[in-house]
Amino acid sequence: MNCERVKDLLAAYLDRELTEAETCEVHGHLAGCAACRRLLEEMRAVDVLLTACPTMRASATFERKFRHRVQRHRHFVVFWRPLLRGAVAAAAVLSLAAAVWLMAAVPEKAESPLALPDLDLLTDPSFLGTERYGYERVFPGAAVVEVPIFTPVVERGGV
Amino acid sequence: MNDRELMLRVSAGDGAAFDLLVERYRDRTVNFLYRMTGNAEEAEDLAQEAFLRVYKARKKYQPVAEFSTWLYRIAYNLAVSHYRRRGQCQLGSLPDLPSANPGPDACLTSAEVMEQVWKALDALPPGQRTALVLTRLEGCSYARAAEVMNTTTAAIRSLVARARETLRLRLRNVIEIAPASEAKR
Repeated sequence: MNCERVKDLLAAYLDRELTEAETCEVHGHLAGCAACRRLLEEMRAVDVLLTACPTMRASATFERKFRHRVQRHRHFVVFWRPLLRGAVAAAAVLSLAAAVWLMAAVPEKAESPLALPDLDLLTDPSFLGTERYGYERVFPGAAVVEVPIFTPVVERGGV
Repeated sequence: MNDRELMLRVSAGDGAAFDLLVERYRDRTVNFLYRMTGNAEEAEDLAQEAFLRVYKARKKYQPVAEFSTWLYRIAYNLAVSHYRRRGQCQLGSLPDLPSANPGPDACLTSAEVMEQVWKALDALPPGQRTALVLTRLEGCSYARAAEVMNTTTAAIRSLVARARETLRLRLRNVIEIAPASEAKR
């Protein structure tokens, strides 16, 4: 076993996580290698420093805060969760009902006010000339105040 | 009564058994999360969340793994989510907290040395840090750490080896000034 291989195994060796065979090999190598023994000592020193790092305990208020948290959760489970479930169920039923109603109410061919005016009418040459080219002609039957879109200035046959 | 028995009682609706489990593991969980986050307040908050998750999952509990492994796993997952939310994984500055178990080594070590150790730990990638904290500071075996981190024992071995080597190199100057008695353990 060479030094590189031992270097890879030293951490597990310190943690006693090597197999028996590996442990024996590392042990044997360390007996004859001062550099790897030095490495091992350095790793042990790092371990000591690590374990001396500050530790922390739960604060005195931990218990109280945690109980409050559990209470909040219980309150949610007992009160809010059924309420939310009911609300979601109600919303689902209403959506379904609305969808069914809409499907039943909408006629097959809708007459939308946004439907395009008759384009043939717009290009009809009889509209050119003397007659005013108004909204009423474009949207026949529309009961709205007539708002002229434009007045053609081109006389029949003229350019 | 062992942890599994207590947890089975909790599953059956025994609130007192749950209190006992919280009491048994609260310091350990807070400490683990503190070493993972470096912030006392966040560690407490995450520990409470971990216990709350245990409580929520009490009815689904299956005694297939050790309770403590399960708890560590929940805590570890919370710490990982916390890192993601925060977008970094820095331990922050060394807090001025008294050690819970101030051994003779802790008394000998100066605050400056601890600051360096803390920074070196801080600089480790989260995976290496977790593996090191679990195995070196929480006393988990590699197999158990693998279970907590949902990985293999070989991966833990590699993570711990790399973490230790990094720390050794970063703390070389500290190790050299450390008293010889500290190196013999």
